[in-house]
Amino acid sequence: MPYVYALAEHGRTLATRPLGEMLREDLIEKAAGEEIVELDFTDVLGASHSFADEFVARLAEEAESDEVGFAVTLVGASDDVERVIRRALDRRELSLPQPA
Amino acid sequence: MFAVRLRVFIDWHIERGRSVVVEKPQSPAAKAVFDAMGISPRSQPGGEDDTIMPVTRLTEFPEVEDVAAQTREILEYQLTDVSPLGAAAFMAVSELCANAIDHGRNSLGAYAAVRRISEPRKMVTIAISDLGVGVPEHIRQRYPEWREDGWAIAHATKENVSGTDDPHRGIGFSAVLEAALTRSLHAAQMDILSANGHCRLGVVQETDKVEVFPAPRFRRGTWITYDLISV
Repeated sequence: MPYVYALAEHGRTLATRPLGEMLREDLIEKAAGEEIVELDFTDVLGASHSFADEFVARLAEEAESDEVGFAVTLVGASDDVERVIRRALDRRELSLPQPA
Repeated sequence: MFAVRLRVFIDWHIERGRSVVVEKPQSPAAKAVFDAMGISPRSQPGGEDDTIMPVTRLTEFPEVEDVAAQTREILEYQLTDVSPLGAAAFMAVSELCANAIDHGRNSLGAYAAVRRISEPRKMVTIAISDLGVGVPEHIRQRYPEWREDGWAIAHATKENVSGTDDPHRGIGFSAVLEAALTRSLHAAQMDILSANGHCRLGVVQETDKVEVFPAPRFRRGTWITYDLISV
């Protein structure tokens, strides 16, 4: 079973780089020892590019380089939110695996 | 932008221990001054209903989260005539206010206001300012060769151009304009004034353009007006 990190618990809109950094650190601490982490964007209305870069793209980068010890997947994102996240991943030439 | 400038002016003087008295143009004291100067100030168009976010002072990032969320929710759920502008307005408020706090650090913080305008076209106008170092000086920390202020601002709006050494920073302005490249917008126009530079970024029906003008005068900090015009 993957560890599910529900973003909507932290706000329906996610706007800044410092929030992205704070949630990334929170997630890394909570998901220690897990193999797969699902980033669940269900009920999130919007995410800024800076948040997406700092939270998702940096996390994906750290997962790819085995810094965090788990793989990351994305679930529940609306089209708008997913577009922003995909753009953030593209900027760092990264991608996320599809959830099983 | 006038309301933002007025609030910055007032707070700047208060911070220096000066007493500030604000009078409405209709008050007898203000009217006496206007009469003596031969000026007849006209009323501001629109009313209270057009204010999406009043002039708000921002000093911490969680406040940016709040105003960005408030702007989006009011636009999408309460002002249905301009609700298609909600996503673009959210991106602008979140990225530009965060920039103002991050790069514009000063004792006053940053100021932002959001307003709906119904005539002659339905639009949302966003004003953001700070009295920080300003875009040209910030960007010249990394690109000292960009000496002309207007063009320094224009370059700073390009993706991954930043005054920091982090290659993944400098996405704010381009993200804001990217969010405006949508069919639900007729046009978007951003005016950035800082130091002796004035840069105008325009998006019209999914194509963008950059113009640089001579600034009418030196401006401390960064002053941005962003208009999102509905189809």
